[in-house]
Amino acid sequence: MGESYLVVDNLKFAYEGLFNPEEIYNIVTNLFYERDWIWYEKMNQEEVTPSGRQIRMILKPFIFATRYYQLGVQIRIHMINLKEVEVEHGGKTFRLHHGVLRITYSGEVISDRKKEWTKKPLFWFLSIIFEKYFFSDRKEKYSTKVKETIDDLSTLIKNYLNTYKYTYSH
Amino acid sequence: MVETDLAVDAKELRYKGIFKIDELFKIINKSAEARGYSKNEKRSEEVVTEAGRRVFLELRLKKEVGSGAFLSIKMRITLDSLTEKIELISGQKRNVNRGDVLIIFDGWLETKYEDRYHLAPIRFFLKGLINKYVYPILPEGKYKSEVTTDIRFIESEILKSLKVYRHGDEESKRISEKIVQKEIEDDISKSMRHDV
Repeated sequence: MGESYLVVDNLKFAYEGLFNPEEIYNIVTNLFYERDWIWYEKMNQEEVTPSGRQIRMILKPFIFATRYYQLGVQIRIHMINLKEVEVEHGGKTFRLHHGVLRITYSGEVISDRKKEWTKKPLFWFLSIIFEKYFFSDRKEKYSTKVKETIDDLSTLIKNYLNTYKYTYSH
Repeated sequence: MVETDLAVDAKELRYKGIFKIDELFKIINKSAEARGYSKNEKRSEEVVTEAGRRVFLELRLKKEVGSGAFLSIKMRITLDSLTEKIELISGQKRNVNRGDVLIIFDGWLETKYEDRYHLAPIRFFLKGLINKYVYPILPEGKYKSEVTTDIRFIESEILKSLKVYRHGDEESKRISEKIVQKEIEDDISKSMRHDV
């Protein structure tokens, strides 16, 4: 395996209030399916305790950007003390969950995904030189793509939860 | 591994009253960009309660100032008891937020001097000695004062925008821009005295 460049380092989001866990899961899966990412669910664990349901998920979708580069995102979702509640709004009754939602995002760009350039020291040296001085714009391009994907996902989740959003642009 | 040097330690900005959350974020973005910082969101939290929302946001602003030297500002923004209201500002009805604002600034000088020639023990010792007792020959001192100035600038821009809302209601409509400016200057001079 080649080098792994960390682009987004543990961006954290937390929310406490009403939400629907299935919809959160659907938002995440839909975004990656729409963009043709390969879905990999590393962990999906649910525990029922007297204080509520505890759900823990580790999702690691990835995409082969080129023959050389691979982009990867890691989303850790932790839902704590989920309790089912009925909420009346506009004369209708909605069945929702109340609890704490914690999401941590990480993103990386992996080079030499086929391990073709790490077999011999000379190849490895050449790959680093080319990456650093000749094709540095490509790494930048894929880093931006990973950042954008995480930003889009984060915005979608914030929109769904109707939280206040900080945006980099103004 | 980077060497970090704390320049501003937990400088607080407090405000209670009406403001607009989008405009607050806009001002932060604009002032950070004006000083050449890149923005990075690190953490965001929101708790919804009956009394209102509690929003927490952590931003990391970064700027490269020299070869291997960076200025880093950590902003921890807490908006407590946040509610939405319609208020009369400058004779116009506007949808605003009411709540408590607490912004904590930390300023750092980060250097990546590891394995460079002046980190050899004897050179490092001599550098420190000359820098402290003879003459500040190295630019670290300048960088540290730059991050302090940048934080003051961002703080004053935020205060300026918040005070517009405070004085924007009908009662104090006559308070001119000059008075607002004077209040900000007073605040800054007070904080400078506190820093000293």
